[in-house]
Amino acid sequence: MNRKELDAFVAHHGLAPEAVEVALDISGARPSAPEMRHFAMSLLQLAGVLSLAAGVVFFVAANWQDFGIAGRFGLVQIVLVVSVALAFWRPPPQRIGRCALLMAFISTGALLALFGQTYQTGADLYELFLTWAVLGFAFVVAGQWSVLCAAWLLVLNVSLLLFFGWRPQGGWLWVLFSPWHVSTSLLLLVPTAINLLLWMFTRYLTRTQWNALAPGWIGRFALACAFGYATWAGGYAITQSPVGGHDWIALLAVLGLEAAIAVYALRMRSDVFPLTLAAASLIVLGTLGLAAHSGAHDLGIFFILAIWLIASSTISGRILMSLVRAWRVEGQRA
Amino acid sequence: MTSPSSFRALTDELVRRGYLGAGSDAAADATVANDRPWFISIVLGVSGWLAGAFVLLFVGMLFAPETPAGMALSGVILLAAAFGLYAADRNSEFFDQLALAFSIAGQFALTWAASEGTDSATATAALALLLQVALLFAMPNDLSKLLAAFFASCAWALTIRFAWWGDDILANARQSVAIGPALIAWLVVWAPIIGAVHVLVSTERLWMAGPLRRIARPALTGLLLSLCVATWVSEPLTALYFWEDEPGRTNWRVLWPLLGAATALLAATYAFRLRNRAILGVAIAGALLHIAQFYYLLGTTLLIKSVVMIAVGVVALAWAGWLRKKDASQEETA
Repeated sequence: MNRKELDAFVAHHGLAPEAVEVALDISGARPSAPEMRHFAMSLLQLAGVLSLAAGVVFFVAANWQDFGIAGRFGLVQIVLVVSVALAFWRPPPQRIGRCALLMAFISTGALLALFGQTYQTGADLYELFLTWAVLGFAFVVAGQWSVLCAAWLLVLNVSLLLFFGWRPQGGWLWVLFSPWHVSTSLLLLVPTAINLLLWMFTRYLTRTQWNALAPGWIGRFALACAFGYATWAGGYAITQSPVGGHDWIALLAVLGLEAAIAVYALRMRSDVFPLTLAAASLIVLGTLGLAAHSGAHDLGIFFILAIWLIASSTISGRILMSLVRAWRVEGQRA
Repeated sequence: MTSPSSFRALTDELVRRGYLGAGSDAAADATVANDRPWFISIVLGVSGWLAGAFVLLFVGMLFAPETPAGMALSGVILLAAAFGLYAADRNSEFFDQLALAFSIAGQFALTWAASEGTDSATATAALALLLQVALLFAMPNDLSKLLAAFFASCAWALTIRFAWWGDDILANARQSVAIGPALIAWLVVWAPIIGAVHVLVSTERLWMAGPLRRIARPALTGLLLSLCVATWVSEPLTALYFWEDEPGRTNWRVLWPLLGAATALLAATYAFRLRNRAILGVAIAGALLHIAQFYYLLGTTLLIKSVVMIAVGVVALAWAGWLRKKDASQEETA
């Protein structure tokens, strides 16, 4: 029972403070002392591991000249080896094993960064993140932990963002995509598709024994990234003047993808998150389209955009909330 | 999501314990149905914000107020319109969005008028703080109150910062600041907010049943969000100041983001206590954002930052270990 519901319940009955205290206890709205201790312990463990990992990353970035190359490599490698050894000693799903694998995953990135920094490999920044994602994948599978999964997804998306956003000429992805002579908007559909596939994969995993790898929020993270790239692709296409052939294809593909996901969510009747992302994306694309092609100037465009934003968000909110209510009622009946 | 049956069970239990009269209804349906998911609120809030900016530009161009008094008058009229719309229909999505846009436009206008009228960043921040406190008490809408509490915290942080170290954010990033004043200033800013959050959480049962709830609940959410991200929000530009003309200057305000990460984790603990998963997510994201800011902020060397992070990590893990032992010994005793 969340606080909004409890607030309304308490107000409806005009409960006295003692009765509110009892209602909070009965409804489980307040965690017990052992629950609080367990939460604090988990939070401190995670904060501790991430702080140590950040310390290692900061140390590599500091490029301390008084500490020899061998010493720097040795230090990061020791952290990596000790983390892996800890994970073998207390394998996941034990907490120590999972935290150790998170440390190992971050140390892998630090080691790659140190390698690039020391030997001036000339590799682009996106290559560092992409290699990190590839090499660190083993730790994600071994860890079977949503936090590790989120860290991997973040690293992968940073690499995709750096490549597809800035189009550096070099590295694996450049070799793969340089023969494609297509517009940026079409190219941005690639990271969209990758994240959509990951989202579908998380949906599949929830029905297998690997469901610990991908709880609902990881799927939502991947889907949000997919919609982010799709909106970028659509926004890029719609703001071109004139809108070229590739851009029209990209725009239609974006709208088609969003429509397909919306239809899927409507058929599943369980989660409005994909529909909310579709609505947000359409609001952004509509805003950009109006700004770029309405033909109005200054005073008129500000008025049109204000009205569009208010109207589109109101309609979206109304539709989404009606679905939320209907699906909740259905869920309760089921 | 809460089923009406749990409201029924709660009602029955309160009846059984004598806190409610026999035959009390559960009063759940409307409450459950109107509970808006956080991601829909974000879409509506961001759309309202953008619409507010366009409304302000439209009003600014239409009426062209050239003096601070003229701008202030526009701001007051916009806020009055927002108040009227909120008061007229509190459950209409359209009026809520329109009112939010007017409210944001009015706040921008009044802040701009304060800036032009006083020609002082400190005075502008202080007046913005007063405005936000007034809105927290006056606006008859939860989202508006929540935003007011959040921005009041940001304005308070900026007021202290500007009053203590001067108006120019980039210039005061280059100052040499000793560790004592840096820590004291941070405590002056955040200790009252942490204290307010603690008081609101620990006295929840006292205000839940009364009219204070209408202010206390959104204020608590806004203050918790400010603990998550406001250290960064109140000075985002300093993290973009990448170079130093005179190397070697030590500015211990560099520790603020690290302390911000700690307050974000504290907010996570309070969010867990309130069973608010959305704030918990924002708190974890806020802690990571603050660590990224700590990395980029000038003031001390990366080597010292590395040592600090490792020390923090060791302390956090030791603390977690101590809690674990305490937990185990209590379980044995039980």
